[in-house]
Amino acid sequence: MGDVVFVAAIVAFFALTVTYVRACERLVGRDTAAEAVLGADTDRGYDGAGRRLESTPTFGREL
Amino acid sequence: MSTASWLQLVALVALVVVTAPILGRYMARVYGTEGDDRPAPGDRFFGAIERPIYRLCGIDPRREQRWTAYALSVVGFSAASFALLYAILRFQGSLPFNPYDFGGVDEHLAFNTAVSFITNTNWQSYGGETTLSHLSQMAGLTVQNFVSAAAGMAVMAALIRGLARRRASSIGNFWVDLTRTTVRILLPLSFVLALVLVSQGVVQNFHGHTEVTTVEGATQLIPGGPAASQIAIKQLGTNGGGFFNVNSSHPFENSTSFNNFVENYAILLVPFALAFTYGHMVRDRRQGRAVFAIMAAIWLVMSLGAMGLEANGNDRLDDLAVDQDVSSEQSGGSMEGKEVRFGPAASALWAASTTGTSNGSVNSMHDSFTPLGGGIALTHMMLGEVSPGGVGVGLNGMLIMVILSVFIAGLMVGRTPEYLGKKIQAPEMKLVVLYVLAMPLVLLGFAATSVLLDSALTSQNNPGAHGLSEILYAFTSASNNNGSAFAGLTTSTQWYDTTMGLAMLVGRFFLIVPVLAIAGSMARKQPAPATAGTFPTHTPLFGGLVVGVVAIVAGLTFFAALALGPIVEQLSL
Repeated sequence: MGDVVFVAAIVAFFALTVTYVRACERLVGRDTAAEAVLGADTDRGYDGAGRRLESTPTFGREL
Repeated sequence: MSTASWLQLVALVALVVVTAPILGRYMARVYGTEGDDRPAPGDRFFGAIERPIYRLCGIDPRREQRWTAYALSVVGFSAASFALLYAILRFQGSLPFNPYDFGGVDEHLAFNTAVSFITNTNWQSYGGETTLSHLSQMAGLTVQNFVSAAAGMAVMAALIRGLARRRASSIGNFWVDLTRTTVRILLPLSFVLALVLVSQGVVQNFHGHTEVTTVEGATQLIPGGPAASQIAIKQLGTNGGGFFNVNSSHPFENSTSFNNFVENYAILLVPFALAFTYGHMVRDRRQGRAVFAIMAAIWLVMSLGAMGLEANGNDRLDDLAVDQDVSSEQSGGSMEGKEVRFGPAASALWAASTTGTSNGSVNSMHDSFTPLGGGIALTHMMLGEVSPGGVGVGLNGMLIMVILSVFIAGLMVGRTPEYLGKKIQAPEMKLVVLYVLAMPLVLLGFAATSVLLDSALTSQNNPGAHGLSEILYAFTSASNNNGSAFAGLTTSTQWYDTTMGLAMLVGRFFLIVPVLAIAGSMARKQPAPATAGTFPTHTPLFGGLVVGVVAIVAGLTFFAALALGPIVEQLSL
């Protein structure tokens, strides 16, 4: 009886882990799609169309 | 501390600093570096061993996996490993190499032990020489020592590839990484170390008990077994599960002071070397050196703290006029629970190493340390096993902390955080949070429940603050896949075997999955060249920030529990 309980517990845990993998997959996929729509890289001084912005903040020098 | 203690620490640091970069470079060649197609050293020899394995298992070594396939391979392999080990333990009474005629291991103990070894925790609810056959030790535990360590290193290789690659959909092949790690790294190192250990008197035979008559005329049973081969991978793979019940305190596992030094070095070598592997694989060795420096700084502070506290001795014993001073006749300091051949400094140095690496082997009883000395061992694990952490998983944890630090630095100045030229965005940060929360959730949850349950409290051998420390230590060790025991708490009960088994599972797989998801997400990104606005991640300033983040995350999570345990106990002395 004990064997059944512990084997069932481990099967349930690994099934939960597989579900966790799928959940993380959806998380990564959804947000990466959102990033592709946005496209802009204002930190580096470029807008969404790849044009150079007027000024670029400089983290190192501010320090 | 005595001069000998300082010399031991300096020698250990020097040895690691000299050899870790060499091993790190070799391991980077084993895992492969983007843009470097040269074969790894020894490719012809090791390739001849690996190719039949691939053919037998139907593995195409050229075929890579997406992160999800990689993660499912890790899970599938671990599930199969559990089934095999559980069966060996349950049926050992009917299997060969059982000179003591041990029967099958109880269900809950088999569950705990199997989980413990597939997760690289190697917690010992069993007494090796009183519970397990030689077959269980060799085909069960030792095999898992190799492959569970290799699985952790494989996941690390996948994470580094995710950070290093650009616009890629795959992060390597788990089966290839597992095989190459075992064949090219762990087996050769273990073979050499086992020979060194045997030369120092660590036993390696297939005997059962040898009956001898002592000088007093009494009869004593001396245990035997294939210990050296298991101890070698136990230290190199940061596993920690001992062949004998008292682990590395046993003279047949850890025979001499020199042997103790070698084993301590073996505990630290691979985890520290992997920092250099990282630098090579991302083609920026400064990053590897920075990670190494961060890991080493934390480990050194913890080592010095523990060594100083144990060398100073116990204030309560001073009150009783016990001589705790260093002299030609004794090593001085707090000697309770420590082996005379090691002394307090070597014991404390080992304690800092074993708790910082998720190794978990012990050469002294941490339960008998001074309250703050034991508290350092406890805190070192609570940092998340990143200094330098277990093989592979330690570097994973450190890189998660690095990403978290980059994110916090970005928040401070209002810029999108980036690491190695790749932006850290919402999905990665959500995964980092999942990683950071999983371990404290099971640790504090199960520890709090154990304090409330009368049936769990009967396992305590000490009341008050020390008793709380024992429970905290047990679940900290399990959920961080460390495996060291504080002692003083009887955990071979259904409650502790089961809950600690669950804590080990969560601490392993609920951290590996977000790591691989981050690897997959980062691999797809296109890195941008560094500009004047890029926050450099190889400087002492950034290193200090990461150390601060590691300390603050652990402090905010665990300070209350620590205050009620070791800190109160120290104040009450």
